[in-house]
Amino acid sequence: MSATPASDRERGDQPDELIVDQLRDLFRDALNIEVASPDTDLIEAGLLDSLALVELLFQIEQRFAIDLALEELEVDNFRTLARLSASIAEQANATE
Amino acid sequence: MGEERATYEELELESNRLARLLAEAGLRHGDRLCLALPKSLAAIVAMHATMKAGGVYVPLDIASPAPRVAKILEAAEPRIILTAEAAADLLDDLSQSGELSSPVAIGSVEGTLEREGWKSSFERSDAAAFSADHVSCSTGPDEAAHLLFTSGSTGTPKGVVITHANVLHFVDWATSYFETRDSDRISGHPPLHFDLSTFDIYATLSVGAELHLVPPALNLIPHKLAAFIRDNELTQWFSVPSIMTYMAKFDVIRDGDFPALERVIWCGEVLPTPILIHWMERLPHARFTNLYGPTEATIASSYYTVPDRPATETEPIPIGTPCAGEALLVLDDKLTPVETGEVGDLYIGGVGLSPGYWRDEEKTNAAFSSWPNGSERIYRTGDIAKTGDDGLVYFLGRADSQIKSRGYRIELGEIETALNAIDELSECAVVGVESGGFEGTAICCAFAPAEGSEVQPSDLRERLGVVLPTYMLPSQWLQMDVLPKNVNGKIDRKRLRELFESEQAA
Repeated sequence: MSATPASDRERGDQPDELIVDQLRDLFRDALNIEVASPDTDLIEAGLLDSLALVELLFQIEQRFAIDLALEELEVDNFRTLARLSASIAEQANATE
Repeated sequence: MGEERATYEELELESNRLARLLAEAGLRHGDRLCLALPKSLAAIVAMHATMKAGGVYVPLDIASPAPRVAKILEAAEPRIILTAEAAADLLDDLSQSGELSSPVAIGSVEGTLEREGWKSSFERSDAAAFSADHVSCSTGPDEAAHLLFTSGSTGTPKGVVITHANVLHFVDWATSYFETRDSDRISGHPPLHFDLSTFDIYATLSVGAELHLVPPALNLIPHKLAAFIRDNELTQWFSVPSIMTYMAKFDVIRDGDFPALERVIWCGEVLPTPILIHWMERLPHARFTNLYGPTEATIASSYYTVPDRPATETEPIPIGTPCAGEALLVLDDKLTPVETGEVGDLYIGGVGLSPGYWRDEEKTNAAFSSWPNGSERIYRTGDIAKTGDDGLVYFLGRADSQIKSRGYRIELGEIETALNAIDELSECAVVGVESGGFEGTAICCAFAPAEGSEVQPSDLRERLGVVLPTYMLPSQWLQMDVLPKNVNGKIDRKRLRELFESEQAA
């Protein structure tokens, strides 16, 4: 993953709805967190702290079979479900 | 912080102007001013301006839900709330519940804020009309400087009154002990509503050093925290242990990293010894000091600098010896000192002691008492401790249901009070379980849904999130038909802890 903010990325502008839905389920089932919309700012809304983030990345690795390494992430890569879905899509494409 | 910088001259002149503007806006000697501001340079200027105007500042956690902030506002009865765009949504919610009605005045540290239901009556640029000359201040050393609200067991946060003398005593000890000097580059990691932040701010400013406020979003990415220390060439890092554990678990510190770093200091909870070893092995050039003390005794009351890498991963790190002017007392239930090696309740006496809880004589009298023969005030910490053969004090645990999770001090009763307000539950209990992870104690909730209810943990978490800050939300949930009881018919918390522990192991 590059250090470019998600908003600057061409591919990141259109969230993959399927991935967003899967992420929403993952938040609910694995983290017990209801996310209102794909554009909810998870950090500002106080939904995502370090504990939840680590669990989230673990769950994403399991479910999407990709390696989303914390050290390569920028906060903007996971600020919303939309941005996170773009990060996942990009990582999936990179590993194909 | 970030791109924002200020010189000492700017801090002095800006806070002088703002102090005069605050006085003009109605702030009188002893009046409270609430800071509904993000961690920022503006917040630090506002703290100084408030004190120069003779006021008492109350830092608010703007990430906290409005109902909890409302309780703090109701207790503090501020004359002024200083805010910024970043807290506008919170103020919208407070306005809707009627918390912003006069006589409270709202000031903006940015431009004018005009929202539905409230608007700022003065703004940052208004301060330019006032003199930047020295402000003479008549506040005495034993008067309140700020109020810090901490979790209360009955669901209402309690305000700890901290005087100017309380802070000055600690700063004098700390700058002397740590040999802080003007070339230091010091981290400002804890949030401003956390009493540990007053150490960073006032110790740094008292010696003319550089304060580097750590942006809160970095806490999510341990690599960024390491880069912050490295890139800013910090000489002192001070944080809660959970952050140090988080950085260690992701192995973000290289061998011999942070060459400028002289001191690593932690406070707020126990730093696991394996984590300390991890840090010490990578940073042999740094000095490692454990501080201990509750908000009620101002920042910290005792210290222990670890002389060598602990020999084993199970070696306990003592909380050490009292800071100058403070006393650590291990007493039995008759307030008599226990023998060396025996377990007792830990009390603190001396110059750090708060005068008590804001407008709450009952809670103050319950926690602060006289010893011996009424000659000295002591504070009952609620911690269990012993004095070792080495003469050092060791922390052993809590006597009540207060826990520390990610450095936050949390009364489990505050969480249970919020849960009990949810109709869909027939029973619930919240216990703390040592997680072995970086959060320290995990908050675990066992619940039994009411007849016919299909309430899920995600629903409960969402409902709790309306009244409690994120750090108080349980991370583990256990649904039961009925909660286990002990012989007295009370919920068997010990059994619940065991259940959660076995869940963790699985």
